[in-house]
Amino acid sequence: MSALILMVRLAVRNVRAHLIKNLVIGVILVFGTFVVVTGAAMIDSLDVVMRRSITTSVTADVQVYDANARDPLALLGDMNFGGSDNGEVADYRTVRDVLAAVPEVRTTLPMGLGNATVFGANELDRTLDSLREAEEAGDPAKVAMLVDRIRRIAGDLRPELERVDNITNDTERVAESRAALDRVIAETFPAEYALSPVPTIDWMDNAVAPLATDGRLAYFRLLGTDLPAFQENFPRMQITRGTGVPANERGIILNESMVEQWLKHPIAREFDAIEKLYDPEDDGPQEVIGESGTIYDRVQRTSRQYRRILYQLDTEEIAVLEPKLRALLADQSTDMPGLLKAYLAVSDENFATRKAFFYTEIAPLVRLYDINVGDTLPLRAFTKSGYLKSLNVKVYGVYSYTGVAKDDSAAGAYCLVDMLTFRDLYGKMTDAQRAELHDIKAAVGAVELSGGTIEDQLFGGGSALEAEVATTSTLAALDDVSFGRADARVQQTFTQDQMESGVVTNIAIFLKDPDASEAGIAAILAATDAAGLTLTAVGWKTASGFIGQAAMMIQLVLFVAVLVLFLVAIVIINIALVLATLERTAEIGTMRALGAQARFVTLLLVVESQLVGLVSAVFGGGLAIGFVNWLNDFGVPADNDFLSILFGGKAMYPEWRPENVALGVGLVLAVSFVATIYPAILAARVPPVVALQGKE
Amino acid sequence: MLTLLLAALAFAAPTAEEMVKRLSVIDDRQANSGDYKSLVYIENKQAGKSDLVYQAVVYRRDADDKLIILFVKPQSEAGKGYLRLDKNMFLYDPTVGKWERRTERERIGGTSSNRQDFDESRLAVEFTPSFVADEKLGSYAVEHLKLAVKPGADVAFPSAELWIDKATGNTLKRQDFADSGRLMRTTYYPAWNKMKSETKGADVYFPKEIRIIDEVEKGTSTTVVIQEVDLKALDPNIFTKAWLEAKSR
Repeated sequence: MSALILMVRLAVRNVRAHLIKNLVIGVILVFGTFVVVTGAAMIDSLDVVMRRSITTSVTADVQVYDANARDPLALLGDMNFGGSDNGEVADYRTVRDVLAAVPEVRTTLPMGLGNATVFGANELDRTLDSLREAEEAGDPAKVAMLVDRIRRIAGDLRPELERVDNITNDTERVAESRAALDRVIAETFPAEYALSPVPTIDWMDNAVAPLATDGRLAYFRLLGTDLPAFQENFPRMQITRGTGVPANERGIILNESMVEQWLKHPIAREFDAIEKLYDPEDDGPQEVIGESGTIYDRVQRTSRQYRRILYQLDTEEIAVLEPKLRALLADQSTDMPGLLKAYLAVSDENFATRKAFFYTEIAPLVRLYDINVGDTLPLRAFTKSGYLKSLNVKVYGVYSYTGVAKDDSAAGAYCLVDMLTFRDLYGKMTDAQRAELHDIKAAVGAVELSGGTIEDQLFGGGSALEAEVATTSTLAALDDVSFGRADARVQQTFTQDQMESGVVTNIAIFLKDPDASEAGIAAILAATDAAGLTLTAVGWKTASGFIGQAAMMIQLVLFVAVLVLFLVAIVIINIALVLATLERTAEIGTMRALGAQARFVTLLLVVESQLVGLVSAVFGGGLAIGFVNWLNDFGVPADNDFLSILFGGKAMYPEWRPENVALGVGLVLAVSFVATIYPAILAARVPPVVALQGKE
Repeated sequence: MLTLLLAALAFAAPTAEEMVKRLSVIDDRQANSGDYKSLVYIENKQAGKSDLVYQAVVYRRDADDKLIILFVKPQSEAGKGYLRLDKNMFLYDPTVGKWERRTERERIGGTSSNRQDFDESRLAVEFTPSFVADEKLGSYAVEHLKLAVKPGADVAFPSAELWIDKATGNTLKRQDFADSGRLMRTTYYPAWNKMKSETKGADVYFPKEIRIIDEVEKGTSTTVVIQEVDLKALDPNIFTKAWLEAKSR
């Protein structure tokens, strides 16, 4: 013990004697510790936030799906842009029962992935639909208002037609369109319309409506599931508008980022997009739009989209809005289209005012969102059997994930639907449907071509090309056929049993111990294999697809960066310590001449380097803890959608763990030891006489 | 010498007027001055997918450019329909009760067929023909024409080639091309039926069967069989949205 105390005292003395040299080495060791502790904390934090973000939003801990699927499951996106084929699990209940017996499994959730579209009619089509409904409802005031709106739209389209006339050679069509618009614009049109409303609406459907800009098609990524259980098991999902879908009822909950990006009024989206370009921290004058460049051109294009506001306004609404616009623009002479164009030509100086005006004065008068809570959404999808399937689904609410900006396309912008709606749109053919198709085919008996070229088979025989036929009676019978209400064929409510029985594309599994996912996957696969189910199970990182792989890549890059930095530090530390030790050969010779054993000298040098290493590691570790705490206070910002998915929010708030510090300190001490021991042994081996002569 | 001259005349390319006349003959033979109704079977085959099968009733009033394709089978598709009025085509789905505007390129029921396969023939009105060659198609002697769309015509594809049987004047094969010159589909008409029309006072021709080969999605083909035709006058109110909607009420 006394020898150890002596050694430590000697070591402290020596460190102080070579203070400058040891300070240099210490700084390098501090850097090394700092890099390791910070890097390890960042990698761990990223893993933790990713797991928290992804497993609590859509993937759960493990996903199970068809082992024979053409494409791997990628819940947060892949390079197939939603066109992946993940196969199918024929019956959820069967798999659920098998998994219920696996001790590692806490709970399971059925999932069905699919895509659907919603056709957005153009503004004239919408107005004509409303007019038709108003006629059916016998609402003369609304009819008058809508006829007036149509006339106003026609009046606005008329000059556009003259521009088309200058660039098209289809003069006949332009003349027809001109005549149609002139008829609607004419003062006599309301009276003419009143004489025969429905035929006039039909005529406008064909002659006038096609002249307006085409409507927009909205794309929906659907995730069918047990909606109440989904809400319960994915706590980050929060309903921001409306409500959840009641248990055992059909319905859809829209994803907020999807709503903001695809269903919001295009002018509102433009205002939102431009506003994002301004630095919120900077109160001074900022130039985003400027007087030229991409954003300026975009603003000019937006100003030409004034019709997107004008066509949604009634006469009374224009009467309200027009004076406000005149006051805002200090313009008393321009007409309403001109006012709107001028209003939309925003600049850096007036952007904030114009945007505020839009949301306070214009937004209440127009459809800010194409689809709102309470609306019925006509979803349409190509089914697995190839038929086009449409279905009306009620919008119950809008959801987002906590911590994610509402306009970020985060966490796979899925709209959540009930399982039966998913299955209807998925359209797996039943035996009865298959039999029906077989009967239709058999009744017609169309010959299937096979062997040889088509032309040889069809035209090689030289048979007569013409035959005379007579009218048959079947067709007349079809004239009076009625198919009954199609919506009545759709089962509106369902039982839990019906929801659980049937096809799904994948199953989300929550483990009792999320940290033991490898063991969980092994147990799940063992159980499904034993039950004869051809399923595969993957962890949340793999199941998340592109995002998970990219995240793993980021972690790998981060790890390699830390490793490289640390390796560089090791080399420098090593060289510095070797040189420092060898420089002290004469001193070592003196110690040896005074009776110090080689072992004592070696140990002394090691203790010295460990002392320097320990002090530096503690200092470096402390610095790293301070830095990570600082990052935890301010956050590592997620500048884009990708990072916001990874971080599960707008920023990551990293945390250090004792094992990160232990790793940094331990590594630095180990490096100090390795770097010292060899030169120390060499130096201690030098005979004292030689060392004192300074020959080594 | 005289034999040579006759042979040369026989092989001489037809004039532009003659070619237009040939197209007009094809159009006229298929047109009925009154209404037209047919029961059609549509079958679509696509590699790796199950067959799509439909039975539909086609209603036409050629004089007014009106057309309805009303699906009657299978049960899940019954009540869906296309309505063409002038140059507008709409699709109605009774499950959602909505009408959608569709384009000329609409694949009817997701098959490789489009509106022109069910509508009256308007070759002479929509295209300008040019002669390619006299050829053989299987065991039939055919005249091969190239067709270029006329300005303002609403067609699915801007150019086509036609093989017309020299003996009967019936179209046996047609190829449609995109703007880029890419072959989009090949259509065969292996047999034709004709029926006496009281309103026309002559025969009305219609293909017994149409075989459509999708040249873009390889392995995809559609067969249309015209099972029955009725040329009696139709209810005047058929060609409206309300009529099609009423079928599913």
